[in-house]
Amino acid sequence: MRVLLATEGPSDENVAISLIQFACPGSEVVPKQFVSRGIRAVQRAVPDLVRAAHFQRYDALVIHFDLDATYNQNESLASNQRISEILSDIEKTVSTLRDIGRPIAIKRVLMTPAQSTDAWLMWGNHDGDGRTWERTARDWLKQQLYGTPPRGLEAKSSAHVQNLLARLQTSEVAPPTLQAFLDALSVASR
Amino acid sequence: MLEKMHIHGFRTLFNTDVDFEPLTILIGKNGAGKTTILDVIQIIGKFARGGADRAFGPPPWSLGWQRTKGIGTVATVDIELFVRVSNDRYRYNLKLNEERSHVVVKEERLTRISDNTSIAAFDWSTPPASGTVLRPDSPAESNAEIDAVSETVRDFDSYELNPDQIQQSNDPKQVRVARNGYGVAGFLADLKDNDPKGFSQIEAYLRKLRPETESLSIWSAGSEVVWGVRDKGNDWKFPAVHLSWGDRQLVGLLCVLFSARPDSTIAIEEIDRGFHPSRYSDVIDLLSEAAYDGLMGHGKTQIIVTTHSPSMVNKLGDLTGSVRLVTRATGGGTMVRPLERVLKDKLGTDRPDQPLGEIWEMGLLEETIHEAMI
Repeated sequence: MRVLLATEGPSDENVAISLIQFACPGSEVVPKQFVSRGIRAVQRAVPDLVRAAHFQRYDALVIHFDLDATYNQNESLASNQRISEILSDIEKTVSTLRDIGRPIAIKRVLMTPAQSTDAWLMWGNHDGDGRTWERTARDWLKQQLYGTPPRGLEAKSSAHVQNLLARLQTSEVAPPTLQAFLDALSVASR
Repeated sequence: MLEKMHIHGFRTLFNTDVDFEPLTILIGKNGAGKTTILDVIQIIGKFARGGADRAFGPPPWSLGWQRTKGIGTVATVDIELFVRVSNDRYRYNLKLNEERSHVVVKEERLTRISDNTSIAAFDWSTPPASGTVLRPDSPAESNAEIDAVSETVRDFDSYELNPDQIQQSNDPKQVRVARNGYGVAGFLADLKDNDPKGFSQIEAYLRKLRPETESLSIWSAGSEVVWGVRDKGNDWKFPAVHLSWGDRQLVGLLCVLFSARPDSTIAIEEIDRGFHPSRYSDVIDLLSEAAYDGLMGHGKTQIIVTTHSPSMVNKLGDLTGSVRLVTRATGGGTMVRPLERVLKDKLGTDRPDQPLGEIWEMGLLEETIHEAMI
């Protein structure tokens, strides 16, 4: 599966590539990064990402963004407002795409951690409930993983992600947003 | 005006075609081949001014140094230019070879395109002393057409402006701005003495782009001349060395534009260098005015620039058609395509939602690994 991946930063990119290859072995991932952090940059880029994925004949498009304050652990991700808006933007663009003879339409996967992928990495590094890590303050998580000020994000995240992949092979319950991402990848790879 | 160029066998340029506008903006990653394109323009200008030795220098600065390992080498460097002079178009072919560490002309030909007539060709038995048919040895061999094309090609030049050189004082006899910006002081001193109107025009543009400017100042220091700026409300003048990097770069750019002969072709590396993004629109305006209208009746100048700045690309407005994306194609050679065409291929539209600079910065227009493997 050829995957066009768009993330907010280098550590997110490392985590995403590893998880895609974990869930969909043999995938070729072409990573891109949004030009700035925050949901507005994602919203601006979505139509062009969808077009790039379609016209450059990728099999799947994976878009990463954090849910931040829009996330409530008591509700399902399907009802999340930010996810609904991005999905709506994606569908709007898909409906305008010219047919180029693709046998299968582009598969759309969202990677939506609660606050940041750092909670996923902390769950991989430590014991504990994935939900608790997703509720932990984002800045504290970043300090624990990358120091103050954060440095060596790429190298450190590569090491952390190995722990995460090992943890995923146990029977521990993953953070719900991570599980949702893995489930969506699994569906896309079929 | 240089309309089109085909180069084969020069550094990363392998069967590379580039077409130019009055203002052309080359964008691309480091190592894509932007500088090489500018270097070809410089070399052609030097060749037209004095043959291969002038263009490449004496051995060992020969063609062998201009080849990039890993892409492959070809024996002959092949350059083809399409040049418009007044209402006529000409094709200029130059094939260069290397013999015993010397660059030698294998073929040189100037052809009028309208009737496909060769109007000058390099003759091995009687090569011109200048080293190029663009500068015939005797008036009998020359004609107005050759002179006109020759003048156009001789005026190809390329700049890598460096504020550290722009600020320098220099001998007042040095009145030409060099490739790195050295000579601005001599150029301005000469202009002030011999073309006060031109000097005032540079001052006017400087005031427009740097509003705190009262005037440009020139003074002597020993045997050299120095340039500086007097700001509004100040009784003293700042020598150039005390000006900011961006301000020195701005004066250097103005001097390059005003020193260019009408209808010449100049290339400038990293045009965004040293400028705050809030100045980009002004710089683009200045370049497009010079290219499409001529600065204050100074005559139009064809301008080719490179930039790495997505912010500058975002501010191009209606000049999107002037942008060329430079990438390395399958096999490693440089490929140059109009940005609008790439947008259509890669995104299915030439009017994308995001600002162009953001799309470029995200890398949505570059070749994918998959494409490079095909």
